[in-house]
This record gives sequence, structure tokens and C-alpha cells, in this order.
Amino acid sequence: MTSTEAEEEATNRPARSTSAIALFRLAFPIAGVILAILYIQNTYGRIRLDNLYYPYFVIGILGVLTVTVFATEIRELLGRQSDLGFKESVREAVIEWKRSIGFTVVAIIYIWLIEPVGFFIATAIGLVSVMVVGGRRDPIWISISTALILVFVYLMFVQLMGLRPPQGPLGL
Amino acid sequence: MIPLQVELIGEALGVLLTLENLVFIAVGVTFGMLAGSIPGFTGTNTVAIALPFTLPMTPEIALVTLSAIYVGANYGGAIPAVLINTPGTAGATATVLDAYPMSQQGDASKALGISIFASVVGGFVSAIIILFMLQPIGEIAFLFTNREIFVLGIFGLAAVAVAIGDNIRKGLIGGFIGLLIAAMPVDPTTGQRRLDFGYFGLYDEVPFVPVVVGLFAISELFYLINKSAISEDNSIETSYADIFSGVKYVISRPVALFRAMGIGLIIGSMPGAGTSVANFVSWAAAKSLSNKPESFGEGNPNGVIASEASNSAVTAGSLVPTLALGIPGSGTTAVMLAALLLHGLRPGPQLMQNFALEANVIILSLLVANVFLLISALAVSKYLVRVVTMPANLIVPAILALTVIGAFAMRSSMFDVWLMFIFGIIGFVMRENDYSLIPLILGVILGPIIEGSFLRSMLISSNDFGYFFGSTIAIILWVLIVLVLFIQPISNVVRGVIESRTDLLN
Repeated sequence: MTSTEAEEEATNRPARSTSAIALFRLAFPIAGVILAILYIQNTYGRIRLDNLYYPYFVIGILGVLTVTVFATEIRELLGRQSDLGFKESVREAVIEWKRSIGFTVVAIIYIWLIEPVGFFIATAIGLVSVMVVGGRRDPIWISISTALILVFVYLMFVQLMGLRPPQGPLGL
Repeated sequence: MIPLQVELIGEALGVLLTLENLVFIAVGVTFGMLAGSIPGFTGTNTVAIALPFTLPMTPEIALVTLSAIYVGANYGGAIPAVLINTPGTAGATATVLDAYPMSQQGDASKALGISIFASVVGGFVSAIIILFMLQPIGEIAFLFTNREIFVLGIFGLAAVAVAIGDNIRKGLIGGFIGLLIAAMPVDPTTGQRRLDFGYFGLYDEVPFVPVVVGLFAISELFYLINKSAISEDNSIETSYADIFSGVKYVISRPVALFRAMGIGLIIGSMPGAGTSVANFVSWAAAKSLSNKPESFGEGNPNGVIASEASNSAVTAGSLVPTLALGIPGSGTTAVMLAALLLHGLRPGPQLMQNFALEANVIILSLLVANVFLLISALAVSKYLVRVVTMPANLIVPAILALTVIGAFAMRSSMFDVWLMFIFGIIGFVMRENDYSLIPLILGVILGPIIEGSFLRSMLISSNDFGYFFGSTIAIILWVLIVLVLFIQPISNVVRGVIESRTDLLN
């Protein structure tokens, strides 16, 4: 039983659609299979076979393991009952993980902003945004915390360790 | 003739015990501990960043300072492992498994006390042993050729996949995906590109720092953002009494402590196998020898002893192949190797003839650094433990900012920051689907070592696969791999048959 299913059972929530669960549960081994296919596509016939023994040995073992895990997972998935449709299940998951999704979006924007606006300005924006996503609303608390973290990062990494994080047009 | 003669130790102590050296050791330990406690700043990172600062120093002071940073950073990794489920260094990865559940159960102070004392004793005693055993251990390390290192790597991966989590196949999938990821950069022999998706950041290596930080720290943030604090139990008592109860607990478990230390010493002295392997092997050994193996991973203090004592012992052990053979036993000792060369000391078998005094000073500095570590760690732990009750909406953004700059630091590359975040998402998906993160990390870290050993073995043997079974050590390791992989499934089948027959009889 996965942690999601365990939570569903624990809270007596309606069971989510099997296809939605399958999509998420098989995501990691599928990613492994895609990586293996891309690897073979990029190397086979281009690199001498003697040099591919090792990665192809790894891919071979990975393939066998993936097949056995797929078989077990699919057998378990086929045996489960679901109360919700695919769309409703996705909506439920979004509601359950709304803060994590918000964090993901904010973190992506933050990392993307570092090069154009500079590390410290981007970090200030990122810190404030993540605090708001995390449920903090007090502007004084947010301002003081942001300033303290920035000062710590500056002293520790720039002054003490001599790092040069990306600088934007303002030199920050 | 023993290279580290007893009379040399007295001379080395005279060189080491100056006020200047002691100040540098104290500063180095404290700096290392603070930097090592920051998720994303591995011991390797910390020592590497400090390396240029040692250029103006004399070789003795430089090496003593770096050794002190190494010791401090090695322990520092345990602090976030205990408090925020994030190992500060790869060597503290197995510490997370029991230390964090202890924190969640309100035993954060005790877990810190255990980690401090196990770490200090492990590091101190192993340094004494190394002082007298440098030559014999160096000779054992000589027996590990490429063939044995390849099989040892596979054994490490299999042992971890079996020891971690309930599903061996899921563990192995993670491990082999890790190996495949590590095999994405250029072919090590021909330099031909393999699978770098056009990114120069993946051209010659997959940087393991962003991978480790992403999988552990970032994936944890996805959960932490939904909480009000790391530990929602605000009644956690933080006191020196609890920290010292952890110290007393370690003293009451000498067998567990010395077993972990022994494992750390042996693995540390093997070229290429560092803290990242030792802490898991030690943890798995403690689990398998325990009367309550099911309690490991649920907050068993013996798990913390196993991990911390072994990874500290590796600190001394890994210096053996580094000094005696010129082969680094870990990422951090690879940087130490660079430091030796930087300061005019040529590592290898001749080091003990030409630089015996310096070798003594380095090993002795580990002893002194561990004494400073005990004082420094005990002094600040009481305050560090408060981190677990701080609001999550302060900790999450702070960790995000620190991990972003930590991932950026080693190569000054924004690519590494993106890589860290992608691995954070992968880590979240894995955790939600009961895939352990550890085998994947181990695969990525060990991958280049395993592949390099495999390729060199194939070159030596003219592509004869029988070569991998051509030595006693290799055969023993293969047998261990088979045993590790099949003992649990076979015992499950036997248990099932016995239970079904018992049911029938009833």
C-alpha cells in the first residue's frame, strides 16, 4: 500500500481513480525506462560496443527489474476499487497538495529569476513568496525573517567563503 | 619497519601542539561543523572551498586545518539529519533513518547526544588505531584492484537495496537508475558524448551534490511546507540532561560502537569506498544483528550509533589509501589529496619514507580535532535542537535559499541549481510511491567508480568476463552479493511454506 492509499484509508476519503493512481505510481519506473531508451538511441551504433557493455548491463538489469515491478503494481492496481473519476481524483490531489504545488511554482520562478535580476533580489522575492505560500501573513515578521536570512547568506557565503552568486543589473 | 614509528609520534606532537595550530584546529572544526550542517554543503564542498584559503599557510598548518574542517564537516552532517530529515553530508545519510524519527518522537536532544558522542569516539579511537596500523591496512588496500572495486561497488548497492525499504526490487530499480544516470556523461575511454541532452553541465560528470541535495532537502520541503513546524510536538524538551543521556546511551553500547567503528575503518581504508558506503553497511549490519530489526528506521538509537561511529571512523580510515597509495577513499579525501600535492607532499607508498612526520601530524590532528569537536558540538547542540520547533514557513524558504546557493557553489553553475530542483521533484515522486532515495543516490555516487573499475578490468583482461571471478576477494564478494539478494526472498518463501503447513495442521 502506498502512502497516498494509506492516507485515503486512514481518513476514509473516497478512493481515487485507478488510472490516476497508476499514472503517479508508475511514473518513476516509466521515467527509468524512457531514460534507458534514450540512452540506447543516443549510443547504439555510434559508440564501439566494447565500451557499451557496462551501461547496457545496467540497462538489462534495470529492464528485468522494471518488468517485475510493473507486473506486481499492475496486478495490485487491477484489484482495487475506485469511487472517483480521473478528473475528480486529480482535483482532489491538487486540493490536498495545494501548498506543495504553490511552492513548486514559486521555486521555479525564483530559480528562473536568479540570472536576470541577481541572486539577492531573486532570493528576497523567493523568500517572501514561499513564506506567503506557507501561510505566513504578518508583513513585519516576513520582512525581518527575509532580511535575517539574506544577511546570513551574505556573511556566510559571500564574505566568509568568497562565493560569487549571479549578479543582476543592480549588482546584487 | 613500521613507517609511523612510535618515536615519530612524540616529534609530531611537538609540531602539532602549538597555540597557532590549536587555534586553527578549533576554528576549522567549528567552521566545518557549521558548513557541514547546512544541507547541500557536503564535507567535500566545505574542504574544497577552504582549500584556496590554506595556500598562504605552512604545509603542516594547512593540512591540520583541512583535517579539522574534515572532522567538523563530517559530524556537522548529522545535525540536519537529526533535526530536519536532511543529511548535511553523504556520510550522514543513514543517520537520517533513525535520528529523524527520534526527533519526531521528541528525542531530538538524545539523538544529537548520541550522534555527537558516537562520532567523537568513532573518530578518536579509529585515529589512534590508524596511527599504528597505517602500513598493514595499506597493504590490504593494495589487494583491491579494479576487479575487486567493481564487485565491491555492486555489493554495496545490493546490500543497501536489501537493507533499505521493504521492496528489494524497488530498491534495486532506484540503484540501477542511479548507475544509469551516472553513466550519462562522456565515455571515459573514448571521450564520446553519450546522453547529456545537450547540456554542458552533464558533459563530463553528473554532479552528485545537486542530486543529493535535491533528493533529500528539496523533496522534504514539499512535505514541510504543509506543516506548521518540523516537529509539530511543541512539548519537546531540549536540555543538556537529554543530550548527556544520549552520551550515556552510547557509553552503555560499547559493542555497537566498536562494531560500527571497525566497519568504518575497514571500508574507509578501501580505495573508492567512503562514508557513503560505510554508514549504510554499518547500519545494515546493526539492523541484521539486532533482536528488533523492525525497529531500525523507526527511531532506534543503535541505528544512529551505527551510522555516526562508522562515518567518523571512515575519516581516519580513508586517509590510509590517500596517504599510503595516493588513492582517495572518499570525495573529501580526494580534495585532501589535492591539498597534499598543493603543499608539496607527494602521496603514495614513498610518502611514509619522505614525509613520515607530516603523515603523523595529519593523523594526530584528527585526534585533537575530535576533542575540539566534542566541546564545540556539546556547546551548541542545545540551541541547534530548537530548530525543530521553528515555524516551517520560516525554515522552508531558508533551506530553499541555502540549498540554491549550496548547489551553485561547487561549479558556479545555475544548471546545477535546476538539476537539484528536478531531483527534488523526482525524490518526492519516489517517496510517495515507496521507493527509497538511498539506492538512487548511491548509484549516482558510486557509478563513476564502478564504471571506471569495470572498464579498466575489461582492458586488462581483453574483455574476458571471467576476470571478475579470478580472485578470492572477488569470489567472496560475489557470494556475498548472491547471499544478500536471495536470503530474504528464500526465507520469506520458507516462512510462507511453514506457516501454510502450520495452518493446515491446525
